[in-house]
Amino acid sequence: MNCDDAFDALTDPVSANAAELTEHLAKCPRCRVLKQVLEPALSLLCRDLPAEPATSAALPHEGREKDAVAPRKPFLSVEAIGVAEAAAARLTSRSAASSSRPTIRLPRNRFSARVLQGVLCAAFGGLAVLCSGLWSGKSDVARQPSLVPSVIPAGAIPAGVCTRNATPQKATKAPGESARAVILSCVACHMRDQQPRSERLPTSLFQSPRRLADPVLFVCGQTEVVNDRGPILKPDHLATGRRLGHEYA
Amino acid sequence: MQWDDGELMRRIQEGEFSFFEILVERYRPALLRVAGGMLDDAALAEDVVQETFLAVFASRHTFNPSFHFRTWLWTILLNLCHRQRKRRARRPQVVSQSALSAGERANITDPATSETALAALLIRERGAQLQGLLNELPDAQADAIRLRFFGGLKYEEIAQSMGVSLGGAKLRVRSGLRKLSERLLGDGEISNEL
Repeated sequence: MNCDDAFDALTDPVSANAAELTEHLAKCPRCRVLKQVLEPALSLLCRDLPAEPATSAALPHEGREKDAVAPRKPFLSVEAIGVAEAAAARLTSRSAASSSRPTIRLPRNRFSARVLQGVLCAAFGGLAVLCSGLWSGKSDVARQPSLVPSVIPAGAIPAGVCTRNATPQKATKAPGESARAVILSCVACHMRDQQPRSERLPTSLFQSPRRLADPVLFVCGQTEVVNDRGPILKPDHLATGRRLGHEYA
Repeated sequence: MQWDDGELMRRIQEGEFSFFEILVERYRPALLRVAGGMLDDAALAEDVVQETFLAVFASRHTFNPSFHFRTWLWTILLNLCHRQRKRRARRPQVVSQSALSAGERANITDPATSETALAALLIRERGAQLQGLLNELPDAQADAIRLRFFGGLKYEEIAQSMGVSLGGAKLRVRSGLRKLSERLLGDGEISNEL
């Protein structure tokens, strides 16, 4: 019995499964609290009413006497027939809709339902990954070059060379970490000498023009930074950590 | 032999009208209890229940075994009770001091079956108190409680009869019971005596 069934049993005037309810209440504090809260109303409702409808008519005593003397005339309005027919139509359409709707019945136990949902999600996810892997492996569609170089293969582009233009440049020393290589390649473009501020390359992705004009401090170690006109930063510049903006602006 | 409601309706549809009496005997007491509580008038409740059965009989050809007879019957009763309430709300009410309230009348028991006159009096008082408390609740909650406790309906049947979801039916009963309990606890001295 779960909490939903317990509420049904708690509000059942017949209390057919009282043993199960007692067992559930013993281990569920939430339902125990609910029972305590509803107890006054439940005791009043269940105590004053018969558990099952009485077989005889529950008419007032005086009413029954009156009926015995002068039976009430049967009557029926068109309105009542309309109500009955409308109710039948509504219930028919509702039952047809519920029977035509495909449903996946989950177990009543909440834990089992959660586990089943998790397993289904995992299965669908795995299937999707497998399908996408197969599709990408067998696809005949020509691959489009990525706009953003996510991974720079080691040694493909020398350090200090712009990764966006990727033009053949002078070979440099060992590339070092990929992060440093990217930084140096950006420096190669942004720090071109003899470029007026307005004609700077449109590669200011990371800094605004004002920021480009500002002095920038780099401490990059022994790597030489080059562009198509030659070296713009030498290891001694970098090692000293001078403010490059003053020197190259 | 215990006849199934659907089987009885099938026979009635085929022209064996005597089977309708079984249905009337089976459901009339519960319908009277619920209608009496909803309308707060035993005579009017009796009229509505009678009209409900007549409407069922007159439109028996529209009954479909795909839904339960009980649900259909209770739906008709609820709708007719709502109409009666609306009509009564439009009419000016005549209050008679000598007449007993419906709550009191509905709980009058036959002296031959009650143990003592005092017990009958206590039951009558409790019934009147319950009826008064139910009348203070919103109609939807009070009706759902009446259907559950007076009519003995399952929650699925309450939901279909009232045209709401299963969760909605349970919520109505739960909220109504909670409010009833709060009022009973607030009315401590009466509750303790009862």
